[in-house]
Amino acid sequence: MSRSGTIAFLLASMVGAAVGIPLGWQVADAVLGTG
Amino acid sequence: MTDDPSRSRLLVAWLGVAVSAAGVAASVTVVYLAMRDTMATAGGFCARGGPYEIASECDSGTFGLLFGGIVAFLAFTALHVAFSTWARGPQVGLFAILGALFLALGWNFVDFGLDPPGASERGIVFGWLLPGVVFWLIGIAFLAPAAMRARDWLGRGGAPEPAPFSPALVQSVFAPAIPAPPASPPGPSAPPAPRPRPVAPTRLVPPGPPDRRPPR
Repeated sequence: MSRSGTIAFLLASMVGAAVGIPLGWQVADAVLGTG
Repeated sequence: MTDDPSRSRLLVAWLGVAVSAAGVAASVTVVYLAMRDTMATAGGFCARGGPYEIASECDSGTFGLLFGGIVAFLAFTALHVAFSTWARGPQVGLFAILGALFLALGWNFVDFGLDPPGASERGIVFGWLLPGVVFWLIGIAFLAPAAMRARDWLGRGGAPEPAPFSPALVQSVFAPAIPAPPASPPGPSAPPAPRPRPVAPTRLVPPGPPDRRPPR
């Protein structure tokens, strides 16, 4: 994998995690009623 | 198969890595918050079902979040590892994910162990603080190899890991097998047929085709 591919791979993981955390937070808030 | 995956394969893999990372992060967040809610409202323990009277019954939402979050975590983690391997990316994700999970859940124990919810006069609760420290130690134990693998991977510029085994230095040479004698109908006084001699290596030579081996 090239250097640009390496950076894209890391970015994909970080963007996914950055989207997933608030998503999970919203789901938990909606279910638990703490939001 | 070439060493570098094709561009279309990389695009699919990056998309899969991003989606699975989002699923992992969302499921860890859900489990973290459900665990926190259980610790704050039910003292850290609840149960559902069964023939006995339950003093602290689980809320259906909490139960669903914990159970569903754990199942989703396992599924998305497996997906992330699969996409990383398919794209020949770094084999870091599993260790990093497990490390983050234990650090996050350990924080719940440490936080409520130092500042118990609804009972400020109790002071430090070592029953929660101790598992929190253990969770953090486990998390660090997972993150350390993840960091080392990530450093090696970046140092190689994204190249795949080298083969774990080096090529053979020597090769054994076997003596020609002694064929068994032709089968003959055993007579009443005929001795039993001798067994073929077991074949054992006679010497070790550098690997290569037979015509390039050194003479005896």
